[in-house]
Order: sequence, then C-alpha cells, then structure tokens
Amino acid sequence: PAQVDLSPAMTAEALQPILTNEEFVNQLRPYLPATSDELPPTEQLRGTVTSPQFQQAVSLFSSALQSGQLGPLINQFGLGEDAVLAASSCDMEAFIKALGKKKDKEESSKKEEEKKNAD
Amino acid sequence: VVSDAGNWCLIESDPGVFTDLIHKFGVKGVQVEEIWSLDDDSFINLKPVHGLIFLFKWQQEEQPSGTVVQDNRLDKIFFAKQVDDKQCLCHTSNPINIAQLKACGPTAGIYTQQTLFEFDKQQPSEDDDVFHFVGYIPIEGRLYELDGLKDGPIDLGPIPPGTDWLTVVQPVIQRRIQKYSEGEIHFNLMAIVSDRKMVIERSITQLQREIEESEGDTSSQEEELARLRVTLETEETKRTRWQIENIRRKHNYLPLIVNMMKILAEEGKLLPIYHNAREKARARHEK
Repeated sequence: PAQVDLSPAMTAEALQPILTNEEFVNQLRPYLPATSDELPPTEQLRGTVTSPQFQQAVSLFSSALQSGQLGPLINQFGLGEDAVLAASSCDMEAFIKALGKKKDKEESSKKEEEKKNAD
Repeated sequence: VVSDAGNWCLIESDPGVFTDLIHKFGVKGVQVEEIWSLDDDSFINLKPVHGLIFLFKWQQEEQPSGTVVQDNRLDKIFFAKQVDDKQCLCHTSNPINIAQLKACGPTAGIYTQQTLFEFDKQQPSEDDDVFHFVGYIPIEGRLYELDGLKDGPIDLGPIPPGTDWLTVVQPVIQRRIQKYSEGEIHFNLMAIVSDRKMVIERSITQLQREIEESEGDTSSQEEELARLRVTLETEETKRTRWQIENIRRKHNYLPLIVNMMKILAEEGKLLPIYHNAREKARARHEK
C-alpha cells in the first residue's frame, strides 16, 4: 500500500475543533514555537499548524511512524501499550485508534507524562 | 528536515535560511536575496552583487565547465570540498525546496529540526530528485564556479576590465538552465548582496545631512527620503518574517504533533483526517 502522509489532510479546516476550543489550545500552547507571544494563543496555534514547517514535520512524522521507528519515542509520551505496539508495527490506523481509546485512562497517564516530560 | 544517511545536511533553498547561515559563519554586512530571472532588472535594486548561488537538479556526467584551479590562487579562494571520495549524493524527496550541502561542519545542526528524531529514510526511489548548490563569484578579475562536488574552484575565465561581472556570469547560468530544464523549473537562484538595511540606513543618514546643510530647494531629496523610509520598512518586515520562519524551522514539533493527535483522536476527529489522507495517497499512487 502507498505511504499515508497526514499533512495534506491536516488543514486548518480539519483542525477547527481544536482551534476553536480554548481548553485544547491551552493544552497545546507549551509545545508551540516561540514566534509571536503577543498574539492570542489561538492565533499562535493557527499560525503554527498552517505553516509549511509544521506541515513538513507532520509529513516526516507520518513516514517515521510507518517505518516502525517511532515505537521507542512514542513510549516516552505515555500513550499506552497499544499505541507503542501500533507504532512499532508501522500501523498508523491502529495507532490512531489506540490514541482514541486513551480518554478513560487520561488522568493517570497525564501525570506520568508530565513527569516524563519534566525529565 | 532530517540529517540523512551519510551525514548530508539538508538545507532549504531560502534567502532567510542562507542569510542566517552566513551570519552564523561570522560574515557580516551581507544578506541573500532570491532572484527570479537573470534579467538586468532583477539586479537593479540589489547591486552590488557579491556572488550568486545556483541550485539545480543534479545530474551525473557533467561536462566540465572550465579548468580546476590548482595553483596558489587556492590560498585566496575558500573552497569547501563536499566529497572526499566517490561518495554518492543522498536523496531528498522534497523537490525544489531542499538541497544538500555537506560542508556545514559545526553548523550542520542549525537547520535540522533539533531532537525531532533520528530517522533512517529508505533508499531513495527513482523519482526522488537530487538538488545541489553551486556558487559563482568574481575574484580579482576572473569568474569562478565553486562546486563542492568538484576537486577545486573552476576558473571560468576573465571578466573584461570595466565590465559588470554579472554580464559574464549570466550566459554561464543561462546555458546551465537551458541544458537542465527543458520544461522543468527545477532550479533556483540566489544573490549574495550587501546588507540592505545597512545600505538604506546609510543613504537615509546621508540624505538627511544634505537636507540639513542645503539652503535651496530640498523637495527632491525629501521625496527620495520618503521613498527610502518605505523601502526600509519593507526590509524590516521581511527580516521579522525571516526570523519567525527560522524559529519555525528549528522547532521540535514532535511533542506538539503527538499531543495534538491525541486530542484529535480522543475527540474522534483523527480517523476522518487519516481516511482523507489515505484517499489522497491512493489517488496520488494511481496517477
């Protein structure tokens, strides 16, 4: 099968549910490049996700995920075993499904993730 | 951008990236501008032009364009040889924008997205294009081509006294473009010029002095001054844009991508994005 590149589908329109939700924007704010602190967070996020540099990173992420090389890294993000397994077996669809299942276990993994990110 | 096998460093062919890179090498007072054509008009506001950088799709079996310099002129010409042996070029799957330059040394890390991840790309496929930078520069009355894949600087002959070196280099590049690109646009040209902001600011200061010292009509100087201020503003806006783009280029997007995908997936919005992307990949595959 052809390699799937997520970047052409990661349009501002597709990301609208995130861009219009203040809570999500604030969750993602710490991970944005420090380009324009004077803008409202929503605009910063919009500017980032529509930039060619971000799109290129998503493209790279897509190929890395499907090469199976992201498994160990995904492990560091505390996304759960299913996600790591999917990432190690080059299966993007399974990876996405595993990410979606995480909501119930969110609290425990969030703490773990924060701890790991702090390292 | 990833540092590929063989330690090639991929560099985007962008004036903002090259300007920043040159400044990091310690060269002051210059900047890089993209040139859209070889007409005299393209250079009119940029002169003096100190050198040209030509990016093109690399092809095997090139005819040598001149003789390789091997004498003591090498003491004066800095030449960064990019290959030690018969090392082959690595490939990039991003046509036009990305090119490779090995002679990055300690700056190699500057334009790789830091700590994004180590990622071994598969062997390049046939439709992957290889791009390569070559420099042209006038040194003491002669035109040289600096191609890191050659054994040394290439002497392209004398620049007749009193002649703008650009008129000598134009046909050389024109020939190259014609040879490579029957119907293709796989090349890109950049000029190394004097720091525009510095040049404009100098002219402004000089004009202001003239106006102060003048006792007659200064309306034409005032007009020129107004024009220069607008140009300066444009230049400053461009610098800010370059700065932002460079921050974006160097950022590690992995935490953002992972956390964003997580939110999207939990909201049930990521699977539709994936399906859409898969359709696009299929359509492209079938083409």
